Amino acid sequence: MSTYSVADFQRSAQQRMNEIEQELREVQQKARQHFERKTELTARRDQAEMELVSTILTAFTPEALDRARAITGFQPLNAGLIEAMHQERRQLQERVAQIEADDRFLDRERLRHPDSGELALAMQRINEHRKALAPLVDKCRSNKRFEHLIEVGYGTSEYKVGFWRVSYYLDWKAGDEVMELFPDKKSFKELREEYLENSRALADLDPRLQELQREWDAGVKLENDYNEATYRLANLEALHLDEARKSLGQFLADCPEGALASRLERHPELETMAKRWAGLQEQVRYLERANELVLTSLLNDLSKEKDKLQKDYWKYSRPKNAYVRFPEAAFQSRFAHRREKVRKRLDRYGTTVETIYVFDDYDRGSLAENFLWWDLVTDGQIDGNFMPEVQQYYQRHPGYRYERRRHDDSEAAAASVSSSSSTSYDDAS
Amino acid sequence: MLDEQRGSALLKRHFESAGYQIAENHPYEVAGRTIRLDGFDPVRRVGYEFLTSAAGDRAELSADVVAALEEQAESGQAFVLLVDEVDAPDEADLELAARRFLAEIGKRR
Repeated sequence: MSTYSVADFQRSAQQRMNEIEQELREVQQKARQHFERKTELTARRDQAEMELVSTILTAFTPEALDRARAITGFQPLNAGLIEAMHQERRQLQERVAQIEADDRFLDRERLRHPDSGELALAMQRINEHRKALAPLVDKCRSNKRFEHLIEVGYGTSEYKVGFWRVSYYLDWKAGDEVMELFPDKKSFKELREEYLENSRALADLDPRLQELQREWDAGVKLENDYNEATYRLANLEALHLDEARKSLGQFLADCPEGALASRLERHPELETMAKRWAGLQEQVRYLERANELVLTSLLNDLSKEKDKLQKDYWKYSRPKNAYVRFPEAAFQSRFAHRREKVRKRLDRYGTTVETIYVFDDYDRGSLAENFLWWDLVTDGQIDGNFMPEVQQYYQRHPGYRYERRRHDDSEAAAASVSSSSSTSYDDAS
Repeated sequence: MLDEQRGSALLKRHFESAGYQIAENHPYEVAGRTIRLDGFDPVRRVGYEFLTSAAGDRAELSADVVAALEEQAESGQAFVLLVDEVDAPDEADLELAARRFLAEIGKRR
């Protein structure tokens, strides 16, 4: 039986690691493409949902709510929503009146005009004053021992630290360092006096500035509340309609399989829209699944393979392993046809997601329970068993066989529970 | 911050290169009791002492002992450099302190 040397192993490992680098780059490029496509399909799905719910719930009136409830069975679409809107209107009107009577709002220009407001000018004056005082204080405090020097009275007759203490020399050094920052100061004592004067002034200014800032923030919040309340008041009906439509959309999305079909069966005008929305929902789900189960899984496999190769490469570089021989079977299993297998997985992923992404034949779909969008989207040409949802569908419908569409007959049924041609699952991994 | 062992070695080196004969852990009579100084030249009466809680210096070098050492330095009877751990000097700080302390003694004698 032939065997391979460490040199053979290292050559093959290096080559395979180079290939993996390329493969990882391709996987990452596909992951970016997945993100873009998913974003686009999600936006189309949301748009389709909005079109559907806007057609079901046309206005925020008792009649429109009754009609939408009758179509969908979504009970919260009732007169209570109208009453909730009226109640909010009353609350908003009260809040607006309250704010309009508040001096902080009435005098907003006088107080908070950016150029001439009293608060703005007062804060500006304090900040200018601070700017004149703070640099010296901040510069002094940049020396970590400075505040200690002030505390022990360094540079004054109050300083009592004896020359036999190390702290005496540390103070001396720190004092020299600080004085180097202020070449214009004649003595530490002079600097100390200016520092104390400035820091006392800052200590007086800071609470005043904070108080003005609090006053400013409270006024700004009041204005924001006012703007929000008046905006809601001006658009209240449209906002409530939008919220009701969102709730309806969520309800439809949560409907059990097939329930939508029975609810919309008396409204054929909605069916096309509903099918487009349902199809887009499935496309987004399939894209996510393919990414998770094929691409992410491939990414993990490649990363693990690369790590293992790197570890083994170094392991067999050690002198004690110089004469190791690798049996042919193990060697082949590690290196033979690796690239082809990865290529097959990537191609299969590419075909799958391309098929999902380009699908737009929603009219052939169905809202019925015994309908599998996967087979319509892929025309039964791609085995969907790798996805739990598709697998579960096959298990729930053991007699199900997909009937491929007939391209020469646009009226042909896309799928049915029948015994015609079946799909095959090509395990490319 | 230097630990006591490394700090003592640094001070010993500096004091000796300035001509002092440093005896380590030297017994010293002060304030009616005998303490042990980390380093001391008994002839020229110059030395150093680290004040660290871990070494139990706070108990041995009580306030009256420290006051007596300070009094002796003030009056020129003996000069003991006190290195308190709370000042946390690093190597450069301690070298500078030793150099300036020894120069100060030179001026006072």
